[in-house]
Order: sequence, then C-alpha cells, then structure tokens
Amino acid sequence: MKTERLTYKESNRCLNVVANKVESLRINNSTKNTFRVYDKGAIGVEGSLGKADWDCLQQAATAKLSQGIAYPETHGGKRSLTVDATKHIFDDKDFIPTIQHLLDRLGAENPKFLFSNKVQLNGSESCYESSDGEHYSYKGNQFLISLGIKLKGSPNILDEGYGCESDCFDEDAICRDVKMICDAFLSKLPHVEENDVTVIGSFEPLQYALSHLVADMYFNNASLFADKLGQKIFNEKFSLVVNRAPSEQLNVPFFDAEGVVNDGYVNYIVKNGVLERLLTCKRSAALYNTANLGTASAAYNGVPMPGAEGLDIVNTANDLSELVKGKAIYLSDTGGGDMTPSGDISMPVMTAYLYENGKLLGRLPEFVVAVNIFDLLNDGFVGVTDKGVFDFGKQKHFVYKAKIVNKA
Amino acid sequence: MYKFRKGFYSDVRIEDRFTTQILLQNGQLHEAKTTEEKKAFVRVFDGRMWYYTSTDDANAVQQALDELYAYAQADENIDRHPIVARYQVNKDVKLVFADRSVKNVPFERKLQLIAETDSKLTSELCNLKTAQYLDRYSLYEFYSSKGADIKYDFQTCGVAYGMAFAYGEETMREQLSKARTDFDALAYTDGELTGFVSRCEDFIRNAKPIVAGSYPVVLAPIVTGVFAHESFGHKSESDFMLGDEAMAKEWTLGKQVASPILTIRESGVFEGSGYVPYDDEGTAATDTYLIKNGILSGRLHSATTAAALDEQPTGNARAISCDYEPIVRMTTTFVENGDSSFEELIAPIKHGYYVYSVKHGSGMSTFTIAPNIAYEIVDGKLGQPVKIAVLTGNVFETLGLIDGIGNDRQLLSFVTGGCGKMEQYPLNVGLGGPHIRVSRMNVQ
Repeated sequence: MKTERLTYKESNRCLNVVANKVESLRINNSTKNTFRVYDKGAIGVEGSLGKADWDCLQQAATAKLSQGIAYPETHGGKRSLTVDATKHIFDDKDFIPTIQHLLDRLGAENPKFLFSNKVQLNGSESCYESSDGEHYSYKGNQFLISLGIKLKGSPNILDEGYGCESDCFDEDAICRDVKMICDAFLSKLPHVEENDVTVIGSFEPLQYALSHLVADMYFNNASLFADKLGQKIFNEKFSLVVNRAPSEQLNVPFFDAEGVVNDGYVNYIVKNGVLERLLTCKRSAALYNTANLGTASAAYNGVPMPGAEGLDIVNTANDLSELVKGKAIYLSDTGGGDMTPSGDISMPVMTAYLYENGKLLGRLPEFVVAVNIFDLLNDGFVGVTDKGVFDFGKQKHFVYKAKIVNKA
Repeated sequence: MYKFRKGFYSDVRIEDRFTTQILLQNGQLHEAKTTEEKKAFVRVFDGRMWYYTSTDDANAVQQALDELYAYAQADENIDRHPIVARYQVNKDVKLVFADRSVKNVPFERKLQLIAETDSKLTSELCNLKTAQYLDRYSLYEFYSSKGADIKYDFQTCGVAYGMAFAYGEETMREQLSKARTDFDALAYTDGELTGFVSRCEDFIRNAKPIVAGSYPVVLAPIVTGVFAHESFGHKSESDFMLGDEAMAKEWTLGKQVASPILTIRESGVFEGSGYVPYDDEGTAATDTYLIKNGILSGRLHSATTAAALDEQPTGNARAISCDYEPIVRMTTTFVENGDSSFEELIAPIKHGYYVYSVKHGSGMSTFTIAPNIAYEIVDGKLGQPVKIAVLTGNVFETLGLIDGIGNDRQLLSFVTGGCGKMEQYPLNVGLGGPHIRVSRMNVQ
C-alpha cells in the first residue's frame, strides 16, 4: 500500500479594469487537500476544501478502493526538496494605486484606445508527501496582466490584446509595449503581395496536434504520429519539452500531480526532431509500457491523468533578429482555427502586423494562415526565441513558414 | 441573516453544488466521483469601487462581508446610485428540480447507463472509446442589502460517448452526447448508436479534401446555435460598450444589422443548461430579442451595464462559480424558426457544403466555426463527406447573407464544454435554432 497527501493553497488578488479604470478588487484565498491510497492495483481518492481532516480523508479514500479504478502502485525513494520562488512584486496596499497609475498613463499615451480586463497578483503553495518518504514543497507567485484593447468607436468587442506574466512590475516597459501595439494598429497597410511568408506567432498551431501526443491516443492508433515513437519526424532544431524549472516557470510547482520530479526539472517529448516520449500519467505509462513524462494533472478529488503544464519549445535563437532576416508577419490575434484529419491547419487571423528589425511597421488586413502540421514542424520550422518584439515579461515567439490565404 | 452595513450596497450569493463524474476508457473505469461544494461569493459596493471575496466556509460569510467593508468607504446616498437603484428586490423560492434531483439517482444506475451504451458502440476502425456521465444539482441562495431573498435550483445531467477512428493515415474523433434535466431521458436507442458509428465510419473512409473558397453553406441546428452564440450573442453583451459613447451610438436599437428573415432570441427561462431563473445579482430572467426580423432589438445587461446605457437589467449577470464575480453572459441563445424544410434549403445550391457537426466556434470581428462532419452539396442534393478545417467570415456581412431559415428549431443543452469569456470558463449555456442557409461563407 502507498498513500499520498497533497495540499494546494492559492492566493489571488484580481483587479477588474473597465475603460482605463480599476473597477473592482477581488480577493480569493483557498486551500484544496487530496488524499490518495494505492493498493492491489487500485486507487482511492478523496479531497476537501479548507482545513484538512487527514484521518477523515484517509478513511474515505481507502473506502473508494472498492470502486475498482485500476492504477499502478509505484514507489520512490526517500527524498525531500523545498523551493521558495516567490519574489516581492507589490505590497497589497500599493496594488490598486500602482495599477491605476499605469492605466492613467496608458490612456494618456494612447488616447484613441480603451483598456479593460484583468491585472492579477497570484501566489500559490503546493505540497506533496508520500508514505515512501517523498516530501516536496513549492511556493511561487506571479504578476499577470491581460488587457483587452479597444479602438474607441470600433464595432468590435475587442480590437487588440496585451498580456503576459512576470515576477516583477515595470510600468515603463509595459507602456512601451502597449504604445508600440497601438501605434502599429493605427497604421493600416495593404496585404503583402506574397502568399508564402514567414510568420511570428505563438504555439497555437501546436495545440491542435497536442492530443495526438497523448499516450492513450498514440497507442490506440488514433494519433497522426502513430508508429513514429523513436523516429526523427521533425526538423532537427525542433525540441518540445516539459519544463517545470522554478527559474523558468512562474507559479508552477517543480513536481507534477503524482510527485514526479524530472532531472533538471526538464523532460523531452521531442528532442532534435526525434519523438522520444508521449504525454502520460503513471497509469498510462504503465499500461502502454512507455516512459512517464512527469506531467500528470489532477483535480483535488480526482484520479490523476496526463497533463501538459510546463510545455515549452526549446529556444533555437537568442533573439528574433537571428531568425527573421527582412520582413515577416507578426500574428497578434488568432483564434478559432483547427486541423483536419490529414493535419491541415487553418487559423483565422484577426490582427497581424508587418514586422521588420524589431519593429511592428503597421497593421495588415485579416487573412487565414494555412499550413500542414508536418510541414510546420519540418521544413517550415524556422525557430523559437523569447526575445524580440516586447520589453516586458517573457513572451515566446514561434517562427515558421506558412501560406496566407483568404486575404480580406 | 447577514448584517449588511448602511452606506454600502452588498450581497451574498451561495451555491451548494453537487456533481457526479464517471469516466470509462475502453470499458475500464478511470474516474468515479461525486463532489459536494458549498461556497459563497460576497460583494460590497461603495459607489466608487466593488470589493469581492469568496469563501468555502459557510460560517465565515459574515466575517468576509465585514472584511470587505474595511476596504470600502460608506456613502449615505448609495441607494440612489444608478446601479444600486436597478437591483431588483425579489423574494422567491423556486425549487424546480428538488423532487427529481440527480442526487437521488444511485451511482450504480449512472455507471450502468454509460457502461451498457458504451458496450454497444463498436467499430473495427475505432480502438479508443470514452464514455462519460456528468451531472450537477445546484441550490442557490441570494441575499442583498436591499432585501432580496431568493432560493432556486438548477440541474443538468448528460452522457458523452467519444470515439477515435483511424483509417490509413487519417484520424478523427467524434462525440455523441445528450444533456437533459432528467436522468431518465438520457438513453439512446440502438438505431441512434449504430447510426452514429456508421456516419463516422463513412466520414473517415470517404471524406475528401475541399478546394478552399467561398461557397453557399447550410448549417445544422447545433451549428446554427454556435453561430448565433459566437457571431452575435457575444456582441450583445453590453459590457464591451462601457466607456465608449461612440460605440453606444453605433449600436442604436432599431438599426438593420442582419437579413430581414433572421430573428435571434435570448432567455434564461428554458429548462436546460441555459436555465437561469435569477441571475447572480438576483435579477429575474427576461426574454430578449437581440435581432428581430433583421433589426437590432435588444442587448444583454447586468445592472452595471444597464445603468451605463440607461436601460434595464436583463438577468444576464452570471459567474461560472462562487469564485468569480458576475459579468454579462448569455443564457440560452437561439435563432427563431423560418418556414423552409431542409430539402428546400439545399435544393437551389449547385455546389456548396452542409455542416452537420461542430467542434468549436469563436467570434470577434471575424467568426470561426470548426466543423467535424460536413458534406458536399451538389445540384441540390447531399454528396460525399468533406474535410473542412474552418468556416470563417465577417460577422455583420454574414448575418446579412442568411437567405434561408428552416422550420425545425432545436434548443440544445450540454454537459461538456461551455462558454468562455475572459477568465471565466466554462459557463453552462444553451443554444440552438433550425437549419439555416448562408449564401456565401469562406470555407477552408
């Protein structure tokens, strides 16, 4: 028999912003507790909110073993690790006036626009303990800004967005970023003549393919990548990892929901183009006799399942200038795209800018990005960097070649 | 009850939520849990700012209120504030589902329902199946400093059977799902199950790629519902007009915004996943025509947005749970019936597409719909299945291009997924409509 105890405490201060004004403050503090029992190939789970009564939770979890949910009982060695990654960002009393000052400045510097949505200070404490003597605890926090940007008088719900997370607050950097977006938005350009272009985007196209990397899909012949494990199927510069390193991630514990800590906090799904591992939990890793990735997630009262927290593409360049020579198209607002059964991705682009030498030159009309997932991750893959367009926070740029179609 | 202080508007919303979740994967039990959570969300308004907090300790609500009062500054004229003046003072007990609560259905019956159905869903092209049972019974209470005192309940239950098919290099996933308010209405007939599998097998074996372009398109009722929700429903949520006078003028009621045959309604009165008899500010449900015969006729409000536009709340202030504040959201959004049969809608189309099922949709200035199963229409008849990644178009242009509306309206509920807006996902909503025809849509 093995038992596990997990505690997750969350503290959230959230400001709602309406038309450049702080409209509300929301304070959320919560604690979630989990008790798991593994015995004779089965799992029992119970959870609670608030102060934990561990004896009561253990009894209930043990009783649930009779449900017969199959789950492997794995054992680890005695190990203890504590990480406190919290940084001082604001004193509580300064939060509202500091953000209102930022909003006043954004409004004054960009008078044709309105700014709305959320600014948050989030903190968390996670703890995992097992009867094998494993004890991991993590404490972290983050500043999160997510602004909807609306051109005054525009019939759209939103015209642009600016969002990122950081472990600090830098009003000047945020203002520079937002001013660059707003100025570029007002400068309308015609479509580029070419249809085959280099685009600077986010990881969105990969999300359509992510379910095909889940072990359950792969080993049941339901994945586009079937039978490709161990093979080089992508560009050799392309490496996809889960990275839970406290120095790289904000407010993400270094262990997964099953207490797995990867060496150096990193594990490879794709390494230099070779498909090495799949998204798993301990159950699916054991079921399909494959390596466990260490990215399980779980509801506080639920059975663990494969997750993808900490998913990242390894940088291939120090700066965007190493990846983009000449002009490229920066995709700012995409959404609602999807992939056909053959891997053809169509991604409508609502807002995009012409980019050159670190600058957004102006806004392009709407279009659709079309690319096949295999092309995207092979010859179409240009590289990844987290330095380029913006000053504040860390924003990854995924550069690839694609067709643009359906030019408005 | 609670000691609400003078000089502030304050309210307390409590939800006692019971849920069941059962998951089978390839016939094996992967999840089996019931959850009971009682949480409260507390709001204080001083005329300048709102202060919110939540608690999962029913005994700590008064303490939470008192802590919020410490942030705020009293205003003796708070009752005359235009937002506060719009809060209704309803006193009501409306327990529609208490005597048929899913809490009273034994867990074993829920498991048996999906296990038996799952065993009938077989295909030589499918190696991975999931079967889910999900239910929820919520008992809400709402109290305000103005005297509101409301108790009501909400219920949904549903099943979702997922199958992943593979044929050669092609893969696809499709889901057969049903959501109702009564457990006994969740069964499928054997014919429905074999029909679902046959349709998926036909699709993966025979679906051909399309040549991207602009075509006439007919949407099935669920796709019509997603289109109405995404393309116009979100634009009817008035919070995006706050602070923008030019925007309010642009959205003057009475303006022609769509084809004259189009009517879109929104209401929380219908039983189902969009049932909201009182919203999370205690406002009673209304029946709002967003578009009537192509004319902009109404919009969705909280008390805050109603005050800003000098209109009245519509019962659309909603939160996904007691962890969040209410914001303007939809309830059940649907297109009203027209007078055409499905055959009449496709008859005049020389070459176009019929979208039968949908994975997801989204809508800003451009809407997108990602179909799952779709068919070619050739010379007025349904043809081969086709692989379409997305349908897109400009919202207002497309609303004007609707040139045929069916007479087969369906109102649909859901227990998986939901509506997302800003940080709040998923919210239970309903949607629907009849088949509709659009003369031109971008098909990719």
